[in-house]
Parts: sequence; structure tokens; C-alpha cells
Amino acid sequence: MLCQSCGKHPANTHIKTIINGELTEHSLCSECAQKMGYGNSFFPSNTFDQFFSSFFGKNSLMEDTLRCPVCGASLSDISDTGKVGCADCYKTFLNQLMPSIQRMHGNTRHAGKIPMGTALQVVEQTQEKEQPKEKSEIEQYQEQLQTAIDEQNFELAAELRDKIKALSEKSE
Amino acid sequence: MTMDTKWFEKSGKEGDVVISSRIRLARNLQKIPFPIRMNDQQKQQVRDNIVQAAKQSTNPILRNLTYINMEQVDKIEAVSMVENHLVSPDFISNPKGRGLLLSKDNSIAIMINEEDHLRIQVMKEGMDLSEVYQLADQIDSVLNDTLHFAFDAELGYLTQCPTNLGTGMRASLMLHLPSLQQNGMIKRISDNLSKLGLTLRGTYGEGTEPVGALYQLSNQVTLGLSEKEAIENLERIVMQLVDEERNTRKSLMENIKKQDAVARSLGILKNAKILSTEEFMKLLSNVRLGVASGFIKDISYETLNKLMVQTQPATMMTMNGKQLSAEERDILRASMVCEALK
Ligand SMILES: [Zn+2]
Ligand SMILES: [Zn+2]
Repeated sequence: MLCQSCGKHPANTHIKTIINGELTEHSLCSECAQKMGYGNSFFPSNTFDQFFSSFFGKNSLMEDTLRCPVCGASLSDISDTGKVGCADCYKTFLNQLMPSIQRMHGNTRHAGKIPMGTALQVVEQTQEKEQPKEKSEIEQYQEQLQTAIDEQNFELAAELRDKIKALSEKSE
Repeated sequence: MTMDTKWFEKSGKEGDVVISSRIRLARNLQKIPFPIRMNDQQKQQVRDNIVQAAKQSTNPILRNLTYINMEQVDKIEAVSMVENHLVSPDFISNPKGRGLLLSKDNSIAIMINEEDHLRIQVMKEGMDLSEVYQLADQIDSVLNDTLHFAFDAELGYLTQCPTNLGTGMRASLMLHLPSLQQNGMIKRISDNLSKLGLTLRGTYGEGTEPVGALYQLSNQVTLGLSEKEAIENLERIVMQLVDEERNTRKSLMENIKKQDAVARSLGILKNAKILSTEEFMKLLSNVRLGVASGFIKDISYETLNKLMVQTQPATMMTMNGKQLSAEERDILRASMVCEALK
């Protein structure tokens, strides 16, 4: 199905609206959806979609075997829909989701309200504090990775991806 | 529904440009899949837990919310809820396992099992995000005592879509920007706003020319920014936008052609026998501009806000308790408008 706005690109964003008292659905390509302020900015462009799937590609073992113990979601379930399966998915797929989270928000550390009572811990806080240097190194690579993706320099991106992976495995 | 005056029928601070303020908090329960991976049984269980938490709360605000099972709401009434800005179009597209907790004046609307287990929404007329947030914050804290929301020290509130991580808070303002729209300035403004982490989107219809010149301005970033910072940031920027709209209005209204268009719009609204939603919204926008610039004296924003909601198609049918054809609606709309502006 083609985008109802430009008629050129395949539609991948479905937006429900009310027109004249009736529920209607618009199908848009990511570009047009973005223009209208409806972008799924977590996986914004087609380029990024493609990169994301090759990043954790279909050939990756982890992709097939790693599933969230609570909801059963795999990484491809998450990247296909842009939706996470449950709270524990953030624990299971933290390293894989982090680059996109950072890209989306520009930040990766919560600075708002903290609820009373027990909170689910995804990231061990103590570890975090002991390794500030490594964290910033990863952040640098992630920034470079983003630029590489934007410039469609996939060779460099793949290199950076390996570095980030190695670093994040080391810090585990 | 009761006869209490609804929040969307009033007008508040900066009411010449800012129609309403809304805060929406995304929250989820722990150890249960998010709605995208829930089965019907889990949806019902989550819905029961949330409704029970509200009903058994010692907090009177929560205890007094009315529970609505969305599976039992007919289609037209559901659409009317969207027209009144209480729920999202997505929410009514599949009512299975979904529920709504609603306050009498409709200023609190908690969607159950929309994109997250809970979407706590608080709305108010005019510009008052801080007050609206305070109430949303209170509701959130009370519900958390029994429901224990999924939260992580690093990522904040855990949400189905990672775009809501952190505070899970979406703050938005509904704005009337007829002059900026007419002068073709919306595109540039919206590009600049997106660089600041904000989105400007049409309320009715898409693109840069939404019907009635009504826009929704909201924050995009939820992680790494506190609720207070996000709200202050939004309020600071919206005041610049409000000033810009007001200045543009002044010069626009010096033009005799625009004065004529405003006066004619009022004339049509007062006298028409048939009015489509689209024509009505366009004319209403002009009349609102006329009221704001002092050209139209004896009509209040409250009257206009009320009309805008009450003449939406599904809302008219819900209030009249029957199906109406498009033509019947256009005739009824014209008579309602005529009556209200007399
Ligand atoms: Zn398109
Ligand atoms: Zn999961």
C-alpha cells in the first residue's frame, strides 16, 4: 500500500482520526508521517529501519534465541513494531535498545519523578557509578554511529557498532 | 453523562490564543505484558485491578471517578468522546478489554489499556499546565500506592513505546493560531519548534492548514528532563508563540478585507440554515479572531468553545439520542449556532 499523502513511498504508519463523526485510518510513509508530526521517532526513517534490522540482523543468533522471560518478545518483535513487550524487555534488550533511546531523547538518564516504594531495577546503579569513563566512550561512539547512519556510511557504522558492543559487554 | 459544566466549555488564562492545557502520564504495571502483548484475560485483569484501585482509594477524587467499560459504549458515543478530547481515536478503534475512568466535569480521564496500561489525563481550559500537572501527579502517586508502576532508576517509567520513557509525560496546549496560519508562518515555526524538542500538529485535519486554525503543541522528549523543566520549557516557548500570534493579529486586523471577512463570518453563522462542520469551523475561527481583537463585542470565548464541541457530528447525535444524516446534522448545527449567537 502506498502513502496516501505523497503516493510515492510505501505506507508504514497508520494514523486513526475522526472525520465527520467517523473513525478513519490514514496510511502514510514515515517521511510524510514525520512531516505531519506523527512520526514514530523511535525508528524514524527507512534507512534506519534497514540499518536496525541489519544491525541485529536476521543472521544474528541472539535475534532468534534471546526472548524476554516475562512476555516472550524477541528483538525482532520489538524492532518490527517499535513497541516493547513489557517492562522486563528493557532489562533483556537494554544494550540493543540503548542507541535508539539515546537517539530519540538525546539523554539516557531519567531526571523526573521517582515513585515511592520498590522500583524495578533495570540497570545496576553501583556499576554505573564505577565506570563513568567507559560510559562516555560508548556515548562518543554512539554519536559517531549516528552520524555514520545519517551519512549512510554503513561500513564505518558496522565498525562502530562492534566497538560499542565490545565496550558494553565489557561493562556487564 | 451529567449536566455539570465540562472543562472544554469554559475559557481560561490566555484564552484568546490558548484554548486548553492537558497533561498525560503513561504508566504500566510490573510483571504483566504491555497491551501489545496482552491476551484478553490479562487485559480484563489489569482493567479490574486499576478500577478497583481507584474505587477503593481513600482519595475522594479517585473514588468519585465514573468507570466506563468501553466494550459497552456504542460507536457514536465513543466517537463523541474523541471529539470532546477525552480519549484517543486509537483507544476507541478496538474497545476490547479497555476502560475509562472519568470525572464529572470530564477534566480527569484515565484510559485503561490504550498504548500503556494507564494513560492518566488531566485537562483544563486556558493555559495552566502547572496546576494540571499537580493534579495528574497526585492521581499518579495515589494509584502507585496500590498498583506499583514499572519504574527504573535509569530509564524512569517504563512504557510500551520507548518514546515515552522517563517521565512518561506528554504536556500539550491547544492553540488558536489563525493569523500565523494565514500569513503562512506555521511551517517555519513548526520546524524551529521541532529543533527544541516540541511538536506542533493540527487538531482537526493534518498539514499546515488544519481546519479552524487549531493546533496542538506538545513536548517530545521525556527522558533526561524533569516534569517541571519540560513544563517550564513548553510554557516559555508557548508564550513567545502567543505574543507572535497576537502581534500578527494586530496588523492583520488593520486590513479592511480581514475586518470584512470577520464581520461576514459572524453574519453567516447567525443566519445560515445549513452548516457543514468544515464551514462552521472556518467561520468560527474568524469570529474567535474578531472577539480577540475587539471587533466582536458581545460573544464570549465560553460560548464559542462550547459550540465547537457541541456541534461536532457524533456529539450532536449523542446529545440528541439518535442517528442523523449528514444533511440533518448540518441543519441542526445551523440552528444550534443561530440560537447560541442570538
Ligand atoms: Zn508519503
Ligand atoms: Zn518482555
